[in-house]
Amino acid sequence: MAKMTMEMSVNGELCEEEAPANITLLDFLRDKLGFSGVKMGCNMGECGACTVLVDGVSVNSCLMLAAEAQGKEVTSIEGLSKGTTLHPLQKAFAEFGGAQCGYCTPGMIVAAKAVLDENPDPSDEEIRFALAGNICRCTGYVKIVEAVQEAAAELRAKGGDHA
Amino acid sequence: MPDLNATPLEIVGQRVPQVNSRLLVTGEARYISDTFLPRMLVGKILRSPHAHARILSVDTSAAEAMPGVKAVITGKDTPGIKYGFQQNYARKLPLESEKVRYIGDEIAAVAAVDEETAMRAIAAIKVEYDLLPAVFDPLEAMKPGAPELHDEDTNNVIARITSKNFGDVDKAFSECDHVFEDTYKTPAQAHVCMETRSVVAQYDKKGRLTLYASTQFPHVLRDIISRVLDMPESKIRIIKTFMGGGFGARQSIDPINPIASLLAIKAGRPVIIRKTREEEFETDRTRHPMVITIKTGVMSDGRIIARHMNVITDTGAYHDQATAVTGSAANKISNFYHADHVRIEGTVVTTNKVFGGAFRGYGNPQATFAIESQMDRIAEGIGMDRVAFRHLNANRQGETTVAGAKMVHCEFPACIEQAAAASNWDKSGSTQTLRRGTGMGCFVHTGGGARAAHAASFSSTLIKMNGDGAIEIFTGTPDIGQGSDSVFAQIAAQELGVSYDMVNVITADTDLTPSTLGVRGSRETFMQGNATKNAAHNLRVQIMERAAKMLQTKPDALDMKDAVIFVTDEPGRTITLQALMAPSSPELATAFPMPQSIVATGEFVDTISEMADPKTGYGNTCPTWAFGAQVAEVEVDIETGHVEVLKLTGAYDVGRAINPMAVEGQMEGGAAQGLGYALFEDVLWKDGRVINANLADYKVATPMDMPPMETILIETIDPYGPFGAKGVGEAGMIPTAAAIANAVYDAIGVRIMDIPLTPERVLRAIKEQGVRPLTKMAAE
Amino acid sequence: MLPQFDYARPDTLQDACRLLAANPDAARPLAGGTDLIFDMRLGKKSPALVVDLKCVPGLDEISFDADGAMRLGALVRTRDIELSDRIRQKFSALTDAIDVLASVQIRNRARLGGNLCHASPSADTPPALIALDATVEIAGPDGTRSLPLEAFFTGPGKTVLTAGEVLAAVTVPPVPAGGGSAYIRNTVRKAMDLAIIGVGAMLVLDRDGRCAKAGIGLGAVAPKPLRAHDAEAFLTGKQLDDATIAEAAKLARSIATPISDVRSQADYRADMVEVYTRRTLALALSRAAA
Repeated sequence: MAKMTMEMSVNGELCEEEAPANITLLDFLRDKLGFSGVKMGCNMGECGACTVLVDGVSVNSCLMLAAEAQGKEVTSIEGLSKGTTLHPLQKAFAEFGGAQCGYCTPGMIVAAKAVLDENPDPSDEEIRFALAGNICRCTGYVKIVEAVQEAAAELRAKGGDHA
Repeated sequence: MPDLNATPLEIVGQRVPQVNSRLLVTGEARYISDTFLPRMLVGKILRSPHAHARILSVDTSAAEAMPGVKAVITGKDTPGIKYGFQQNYARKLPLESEKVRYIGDEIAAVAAVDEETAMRAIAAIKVEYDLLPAVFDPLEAMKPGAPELHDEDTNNVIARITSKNFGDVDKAFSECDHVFEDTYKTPAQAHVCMETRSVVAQYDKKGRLTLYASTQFPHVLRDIISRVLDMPESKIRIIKTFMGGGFGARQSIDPINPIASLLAIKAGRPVIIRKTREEEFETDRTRHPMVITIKTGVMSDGRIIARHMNVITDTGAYHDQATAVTGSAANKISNFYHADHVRIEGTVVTTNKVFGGAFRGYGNPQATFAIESQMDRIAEGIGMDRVAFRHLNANRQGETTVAGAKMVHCEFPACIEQAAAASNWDKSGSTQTLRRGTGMGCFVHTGGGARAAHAASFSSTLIKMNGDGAIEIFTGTPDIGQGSDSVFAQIAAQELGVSYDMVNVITADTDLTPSTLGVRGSRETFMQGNATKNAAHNLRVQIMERAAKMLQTKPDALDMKDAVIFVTDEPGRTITLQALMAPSSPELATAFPMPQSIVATGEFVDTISEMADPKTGYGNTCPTWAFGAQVAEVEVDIETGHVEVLKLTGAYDVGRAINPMAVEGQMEGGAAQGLGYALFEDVLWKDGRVINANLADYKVATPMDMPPMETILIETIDPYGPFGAKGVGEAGMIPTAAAIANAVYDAIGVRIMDIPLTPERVLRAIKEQGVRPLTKMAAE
Repeated sequence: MLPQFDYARPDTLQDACRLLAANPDAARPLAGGTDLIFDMRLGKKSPALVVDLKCVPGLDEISFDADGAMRLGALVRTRDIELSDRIRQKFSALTDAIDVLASVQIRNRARLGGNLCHASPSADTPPALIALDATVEIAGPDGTRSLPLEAFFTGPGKTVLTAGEVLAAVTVPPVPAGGGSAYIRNTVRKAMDLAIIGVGAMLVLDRDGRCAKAGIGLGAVAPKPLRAHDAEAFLTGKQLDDATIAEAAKLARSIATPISDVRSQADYRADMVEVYTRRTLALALSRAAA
């Protein structure tokens, strides 16, 4: 199996690494590029812990080859904060109890960002539908939905998400 | 006892964010799989494909010869010491060399340069087996002639809990107006921590073993590893990283821990082992399945007089905490509702399946499903309102139960009243196809740990305060997501008059943090919270004594806020904490402006509870008891069997909520696990193989599956809890299955004696029992 | 762990077919990857060559002709179907099926063609598309061919595709005014489950309110998705009411041969075919009448 040079933009930075063709985007981000905020929950696309954005849309990075992300823009949880300034979603999850053990949190927040990018004023129902692929075993989802709503309100007041 | 309402203080009682929340929401928190050590190897385990077999030979030569393989171990590389959480029933070896007893039992392990090589090496190990017949059902396993798993046991009965008799049960039954007897069955439930079980082991040149482990019990883990590997405790360090869920699973000392240790020692390099999600389902602990027979005698006026409960627990192939869990389940009839005549029996049986362990509720969800289902049956049988029947028999504050449990603080009646009042009992929304119903499930559980499994319950902590008022708390308690870090930070900040963000919590490192039992039995807020309060108090005493000297007054004339100590009646007379800690002469202070820090320890030994008498079982085994009531409103589709929960309401007796947001989070998360347990969570086996070992076929609640939930916290001061708090980590999970099953009965008149209430199970029951006709009132 | 493979990214359909034809047992096409990578991880598939089709132009278009017939390129993202108001309006059954397909993350990757070619007996899109009378267009080294969707599947995981052929597009005739369609499935949870059974239905009413045309597709009750021809024939020409719908549901049930597996027992599935055919027909009818 040949090694490929994978090139993609990750969190705004151009990244280039040699990797085998069979590496998933999840393992490429974690093991080759060091973005350990992207989590492995099941490796089968059934839990959403590995969610990242590829060209702005949410995907399970465990079910995507790094090869398929060549030339694209990838956003992981690490791309949402600027220094110590948190994205409104991160702030809301922290302040409103949206994270307990925190393992599902990176994927959940990235998935929620995709929701709000598309629909800045979602109903609770719409949030739950859009986050159906993100499993949390700790919170029962109540405070996750609240946090998304809080962040949505803040983003609307700011005139949108420029992250 | 005066009804002291817990009004929020400045920090205790506030909805503050978790101490480390910024690390969680940015992905910066490091979990075990984010731990990278130089030259770290990947470990993999060879597991038995057979449910029951003798091992005839293990040939690792091909694996050892493979390039990239740095260590291979089998049973002969271990000291051969069996272990289990309860030592009396220690049967598990880290690597089995004589016999395997379930599909997944550990036989050999390799450490290699990468995952792919490790897996190839595992595949190259040759094992010869002599297959043995297997048994999977506990009732079958108890029959003479059944295949036997352990030489030590007869008919696969590994343990019986001591039969307890309080009062005169037989006479009492004969005098009751009505007697009800039922048998209920509960399934194995998987914890489904979002992070699969992992460990990193490192053995250094000082001969010290360090484990980065997901553990609820760092000190217990150290103790057991020491025993299993025959290494002194002082040579072992356990460090808990951030942890992706616990729920009781991470109390268990899973074989991956000693296995990774042995690989690291043999290879001379660090080793990481991570279970895959499939492996987690196939080999990690589950909630113990139980068959529970419960007999209750009542008078026509509704008083419960006599109760008899017999629990048969399926522990699977080995014993982790099954006996304690069985005791916890069976004991509920002695302290959940009032009864003067109680008999308790329990048997723990081995079967050729993955073995059970602690899981949120610790036998109580099983017991409560049985007890609370029967409560509705009884109420209907004697023509009494279900809520009134519960209210009548609910424990009252000040009561001591027939088994010796002291309900010093008890808001059980208020929980029943408030949960009922906040719920909709009106079924008029029913249609012919979609039937509505409402049901209640209540519980009692420990609010501060339990003495069942250990002779002493203690907690200790260390607090260091720096000149600028910053505090470090060194606590052995792991925060597994439940928010214990914040509880301790809030308590210390409140006690020492500093702001919450000045507190840092260092946890669960056996080299750094004082010993504690760990996270179990909803004990940490109560036990470690009290220890933290004591440590903070001791620190404050030291500070005030020093300050009193400097300010030439008495310590009790002083108060402290934001690192400034002041005379209460003359707030202008102050000294900063910085100045207090600075060197004594002004010259030295200028030359060396380096504040000292002040350190204090605090401990809390539970002298309130006691071990149960070994003969009679009498004793107050918990320092405080927590109560609650949940109400489920459901809609049942009688053509498909689907149960939709429209609303879940819970009223909980929590003492003071140190952090109401975190307490709600525990109740909401617990209810989600409880709803799963009620409706769709079930580990399924076929011939001993887990056939739903993935997240598609083992179903946990998605965001779409959770109904609107209302959480009512009843906060009155518990006399022994820190600032009046009780422990609540397990509560939300306990009564949900019963509430939903009772609601289903209310909706369709069909009683189902086993969970989960999958659509198929409900439809089958509907076909067998028939649906209650839609009443005229409901149809209008 | 994924098996080792080489990765190719052809930029023409001919090249793609050529690569696949040249390595019939060792090469697999990659669309969205949500099935292939999943299967590779489970060890069910171990191709030596993965042929990524996403750079082949022209395979990912949604288009409508003058009559309103819809053509979906095989590489159309299921998410784009979900977001299309026109498809939701006019071909509701397909949108119903896509709405419940796994999660947003999966739908952002999963392609319609991949979903069909994976040929899972419990997939959601086949019953919906069968009910809508869909046809598949297959491209191969020797040219193209078309056949009805229900003939595309030959068994669990199996289709009529031969070495070197790829599914190029799905075409769906227009649902005329007076027509409506729906897809409903039975699952335990409200999201993320595979269907225990699924039923797609399309009904077209004439001006008298009689059924002019009916389409009924069944999923997860046979080794492949089924078309309930007899039930359709029964309904055609009749006034639709509870009784006729109930009879059609019985006819649908009679062709189902469900199995028991980890998700469900055969007898429950058989019962549910009837219940869900009734319900899906009723929903399609209400949409047709609207």
